[in-house]
Amino acid sequence: MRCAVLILISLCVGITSATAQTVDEVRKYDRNKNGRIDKGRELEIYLLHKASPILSRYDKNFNGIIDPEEAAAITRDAKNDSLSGPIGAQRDEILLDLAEREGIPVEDLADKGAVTDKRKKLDWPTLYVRRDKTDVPIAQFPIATPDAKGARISYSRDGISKEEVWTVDALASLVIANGRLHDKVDPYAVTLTGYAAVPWVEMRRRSSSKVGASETDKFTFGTDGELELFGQPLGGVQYLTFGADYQTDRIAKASIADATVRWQPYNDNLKIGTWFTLAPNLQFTWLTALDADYRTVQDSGTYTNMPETNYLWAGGWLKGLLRYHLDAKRDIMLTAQYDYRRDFFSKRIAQLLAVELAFPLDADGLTSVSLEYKRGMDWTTLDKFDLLTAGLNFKL
Amino acid sequence: MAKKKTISGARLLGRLKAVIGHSTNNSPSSIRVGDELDRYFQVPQGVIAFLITLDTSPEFRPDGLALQPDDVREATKVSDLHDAVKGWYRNNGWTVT
Repeated sequence: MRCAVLILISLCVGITSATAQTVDEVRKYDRNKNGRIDKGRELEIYLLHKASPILSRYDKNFNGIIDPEEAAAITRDAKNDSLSGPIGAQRDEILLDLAEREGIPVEDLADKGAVTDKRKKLDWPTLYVRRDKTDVPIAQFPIATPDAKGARISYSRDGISKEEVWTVDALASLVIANGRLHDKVDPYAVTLTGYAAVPWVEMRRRSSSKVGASETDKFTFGTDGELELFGQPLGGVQYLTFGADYQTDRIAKASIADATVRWQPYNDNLKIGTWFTLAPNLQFTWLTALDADYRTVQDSGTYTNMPETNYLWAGGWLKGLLRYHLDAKRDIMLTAQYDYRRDFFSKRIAQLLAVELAFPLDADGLTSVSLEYKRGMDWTTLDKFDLLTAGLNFKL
Repeated sequence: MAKKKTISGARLLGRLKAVIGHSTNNSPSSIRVGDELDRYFQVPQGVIAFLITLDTSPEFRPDGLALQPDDVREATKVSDLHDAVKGWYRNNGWTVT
């Protein structure tokens, strides 16, 4: 078994939002009129109201809670239809709590009403930077998927052979999608509800200090077409992807052409993509995909190790995710992925198991340490692994 | 002209929480409108898949709820899903109070 230490730098594209208040709006919180928001109760109420639109609107006596008279005002306002968005949802929640529980948990008002961070809908070209193509599906938003892996620069040193290795693994793609094809859909029939064209380019480079080991790299250019199929009888939503790509390298020696088709389902009944709570703070979900890939190799170049000319791989992968909530933004994540592929020309079977445990370091869960164990054969390169990797991960 | 049917946003929210709670094995009262949806689903594909459960649930099926993927593609919080449900009711002949 080889041991390695990696420094990982992950990049994702994200969107941020901001809110603003006028001086007059802020001045309401200066209860003693001394021209400043004093530390203590004034600041506390200001922050509570800033976090909660419903408190800001209805807590007229600035005591930080919804009193019975203020709750009555909410009930009165419920009759008009003007409230929408976060404040309308929170109003409905208060009314629901009043009806069901005869009380409002104040802590829910304090930090749950922030303005929703809306992201772009489809119909806009969206740029993704990822480590793998499997993390760039049609409907995925750049930073809304915590388990998506970002592009990576890594350094590893083998303690036994003293080999030092630098790698760069990056994939950039532009998703051009249309996600509104119908005014209405029937959930009891399968309907095409979206499509996307995804041109992409991928770079992988490996540089080793070992005597006799050469630098290896590959550049791949391709385009995927993806269809979103929604509804019964198969249930849930499914993504059907057709792709073609061409792989070469820095000196244009390698020449590998590839065509692929992939099917990936999400299904709430089967809990594919639904986080099922096993115990307090402990959740599980799983993902899977089937695919077929035809590959013709004129020259395998330096990065891959493919002796044959033609390959027809069929198989798929199964991924299980178990997470333990430390708090609202941080999870300990255990991921296990099993890949199985069979080449119908050479009868070769490639199986790869990867298990990773990641522990967050910062309050926002953007930095983490991880330990990964990988064993088996990677069907895309025919490389064999029995590798334990410790990593420090950072994602923007 | 037929009189518009009326339903409260709070009742729709109660139904929505019940369906989410059943799917994810959580108590409905523990689900809050400000919760991030990625506490319950992979966003957005898992949310889109959940629409089938929502549309065909005993809570919403009698009213013929038929949300589609684009209604929730940008949803990040439970409140966004609630807004999508209310929007469907408003667009299909209901008054939502």
